[in-house]
Amino acid sequence: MPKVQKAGKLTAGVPSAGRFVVPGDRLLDAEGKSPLTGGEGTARLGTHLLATIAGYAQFDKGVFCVKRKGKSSPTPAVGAIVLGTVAKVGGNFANIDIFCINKKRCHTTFKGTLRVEDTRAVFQSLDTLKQVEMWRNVKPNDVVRAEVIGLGDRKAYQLSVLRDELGVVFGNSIDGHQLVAMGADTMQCIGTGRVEERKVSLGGSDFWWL
Amino acid sequence: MSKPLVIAGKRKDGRKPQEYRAPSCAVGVTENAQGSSYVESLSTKVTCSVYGPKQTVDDPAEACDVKVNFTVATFAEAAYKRRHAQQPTSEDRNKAASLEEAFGYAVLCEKYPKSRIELNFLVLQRGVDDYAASVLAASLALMDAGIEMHDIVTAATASFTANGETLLDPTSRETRRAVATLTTTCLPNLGSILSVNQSGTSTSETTEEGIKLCCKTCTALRDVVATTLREAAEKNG
Repeated sequence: MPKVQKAGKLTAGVPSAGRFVVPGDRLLDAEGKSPLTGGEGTARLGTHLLATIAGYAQFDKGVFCVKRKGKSSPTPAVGAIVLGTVAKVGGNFANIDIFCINKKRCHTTFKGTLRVEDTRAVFQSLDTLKQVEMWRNVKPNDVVRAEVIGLGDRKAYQLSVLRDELGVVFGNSIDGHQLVAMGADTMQCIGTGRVEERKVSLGGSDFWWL
Repeated sequence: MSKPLVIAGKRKDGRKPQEYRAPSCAVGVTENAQGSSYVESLSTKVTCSVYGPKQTVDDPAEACDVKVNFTVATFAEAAYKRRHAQQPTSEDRNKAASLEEAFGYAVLCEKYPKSRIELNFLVLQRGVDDYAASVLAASLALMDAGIEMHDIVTAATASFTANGETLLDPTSRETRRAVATLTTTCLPNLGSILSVNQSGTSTSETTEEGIKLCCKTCTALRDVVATTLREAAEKNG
């Protein structure tokens, strides 16, 4: 870790709000002092708040942050809500290709695994078979909204769809038409009316795009 | 005896001994990469593309890995030095390792757990300061990609002559005739030196003076890099 040799070497002076800053620039509020907390794009070093990306420093809802226009590449962190396509469904797991993290599109897909134990809560499931058969909860090529519950192993992140608002968002029926949610457990094909089993995502108000 | 490198306070190209020529930089040169840059210094042209953070193939760690691919084009050097692109020299491998270490410190790796960030360098024309130019290119590309860093990493090169002069930003002719050549990489705002590489022999006082001079240049180069980014940001609206 680099050591700060002398505090005086950091850029001093004018308040930072609205200015273009680069990594290592010290952020100062209107009085010329270092704010105590920083938002995205900042980091504390000793008593100073430094910018960590190149962008415009802004005072956003009481915290100093640095915003940049342009593509950013998110990575899954524990607690993130992700969207992914189901790549493979096994007996008690499903592999998911994550393409969207916290409403931000990813540049590369990340791999996630959904275990059947993290699909339905035991006491909520009316049918005990749904607890052990992944096939009844998701199907390949479904778009699923999941939560990252762990960083997992070298191959995949750990995901969960236990909550009501998590689960299958879009899917195609075996007849090839789109599926529409009918309840927490079922979706209906809009072409043929066939009812299929899924762990359905019942959209909450957070998820504005649906 | 051959002509001295500094005559009447001026070098062959008219610069003073401690005058450096700021490199010209551009960002956003590669479309597919998350961030990219192009740096053209006195004798070196190098482009850097950053891919990531992406999923790591190694065992997951709490901090990301910085991986460097350092490629030198076959046409990058003089004809007598030309070689196959598929055979990286040990010198290039050392440079790649140094760059990995330097940017492993500079990037806030803890913010990207279980990921890797790939820096791909392509040296189009290789000069004396290819390492220093690569460091600048990587800093610009990482900032273009929006990857969080402690500070801008900059590097400068200096040569020591037999007459005891220190020449900043030397040409290849000056390094061939010099006693030693020194490259220093630092984080200017944080006041820390990331690496010092010297080839050749000199006294410790000369080296120390050289390091201080390089650090001052690094601080000035930081402003050059910051200006490039600001102009690019303003142009993009």
